[in-house]
Amino acid sequence: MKDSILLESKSGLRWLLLPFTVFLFAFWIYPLFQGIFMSLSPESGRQQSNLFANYQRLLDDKLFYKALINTAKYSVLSILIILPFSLGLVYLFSLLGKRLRYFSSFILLLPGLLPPIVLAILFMNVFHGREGLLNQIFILPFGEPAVNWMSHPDYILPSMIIQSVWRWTGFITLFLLCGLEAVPKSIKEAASLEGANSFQIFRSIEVPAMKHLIIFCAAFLFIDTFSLFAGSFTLLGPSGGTANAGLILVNYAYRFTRFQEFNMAATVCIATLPVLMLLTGLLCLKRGKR
Amino acid sequence: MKSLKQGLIFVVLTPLLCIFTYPLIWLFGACFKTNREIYQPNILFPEKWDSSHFSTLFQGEVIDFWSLWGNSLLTTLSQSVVAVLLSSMAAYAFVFKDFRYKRLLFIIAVALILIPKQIMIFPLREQIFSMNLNDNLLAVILPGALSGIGVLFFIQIYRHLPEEFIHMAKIEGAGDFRAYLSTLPLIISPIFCCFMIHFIMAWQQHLMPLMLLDQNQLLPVAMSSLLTSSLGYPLAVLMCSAVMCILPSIILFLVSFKNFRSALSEHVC
Repeated sequence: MKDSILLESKSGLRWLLLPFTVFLFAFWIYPLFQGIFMSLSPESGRQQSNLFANYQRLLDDKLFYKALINTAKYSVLSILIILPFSLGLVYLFSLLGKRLRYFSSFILLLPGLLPPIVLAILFMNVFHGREGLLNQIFILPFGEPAVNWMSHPDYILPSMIIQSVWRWTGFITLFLLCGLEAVPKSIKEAASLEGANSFQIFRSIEVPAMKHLIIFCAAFLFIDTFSLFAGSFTLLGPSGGTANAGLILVNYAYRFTRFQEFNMAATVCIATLPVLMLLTGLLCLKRGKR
Repeated sequence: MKSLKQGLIFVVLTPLLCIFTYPLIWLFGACFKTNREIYQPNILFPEKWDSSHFSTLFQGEVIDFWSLWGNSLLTTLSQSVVAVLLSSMAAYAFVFKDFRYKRLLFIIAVALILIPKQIMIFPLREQIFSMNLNDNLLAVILPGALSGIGVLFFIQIYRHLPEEFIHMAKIEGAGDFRAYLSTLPLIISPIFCCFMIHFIMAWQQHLMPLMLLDQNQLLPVAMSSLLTSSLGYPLAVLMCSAVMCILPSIILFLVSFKNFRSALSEHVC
């Protein structure tokens, strides 16, 4: 396939590949095995009845399921809201002039640049108590009683989802907008000559053409929301909120470290790996089948 | 008809943009407010602009601001630079070379994306501690420089690069490494794009510094401990440090937004 001239020397190859491989082994493969080893061994100074005692303890813990379900809800709902929302926005943007389009997508993207701690500071003011912005603008003027977003168990997860929508919509919209521009103009022109209006073009030509990109965005969101830590940590602290309504997996693992149970924390991580790899793997496989 | 449509779009878009920017403008205003005004978030700007909070912050009375900010900047910058180098070198090898275990290495590199760093943090912590790197900035820089998405990104870029160019470099007598170096000026815009994405993501890290470093080494962690410890400082100081904390990302983004867009739509999508 490749010409022989490209295959010639081997020495250069070593220098190109060596740094990446070293980092890969040192900070990814080795910790992975270390994690598996940790999950199979007891905490220091304790006895362990069998090899899988940590996993058994995990499976007996009701909180683990709660964290798993919360994470799944958080992830799936975020994706289901953000993707259609961004697609709608992209359609709106495509009707705008170039300058205005980029201006608005830039503004939308600003929340994506904020570190989680800044997000937490901002959102304390949005959600916090009666004086919070959501209550002041969207709830109280309609005569409804004020919602306690941060401490009522029914509203903690929704406020986390609102946060993630506010944060990621801009990025996803920009990705999709760039994808939209990569769709060849000639196809669109042909369709509009046939009498299709802009929405029809968008729905039956541009969206299918961006299918891979949309799947990529879904995978990106899934990984990010799944491993979200700081968002809920800074919003709720390590407790996971009232009745653990906002407890998600990484937080759950972090709780163990407060009692120096690092092996349990590693067990949580290793136990969730197959789920994560399976789901994202499925998404990526679909993407790979061109 | 056309103007009606445009009007409709503005009706939808304007409130949306307001919702997205309101908290940011509020944050800026909050730097100059009294505590009482901050607790009433529907007040956008203060009655009296009090700029003494910035000087309180910069003089390091509440937190040692400049050293925290500098540390954060140093950590993020260096890990982004190293990540771009590592990923582009590996991607060059993946695209232009054949070697044993190429497929295996490639699969592992992809798996790197599937397993986010946050999930690996607890085993990684054990390792960093055994390497005696804890409380050293390298503990965050080194693992952060490994980027699976970077490798995939540069593979995509190199696939679009004409192979004749590499041939030419080879005929001129350049080795692989020289040939790789000579491709860099050609892909300067994607390099900057990748650097920017990595910078923004790395700047947002919270769990890694929390677990691996002392709490007074990087800005986000120091801010979160400031937030929870209700010491007697004016809240506006926290707001000032939040503004300073988002400043680098926003400036970087402002400067390179155009380049970012064109790199994405030309090379990747």
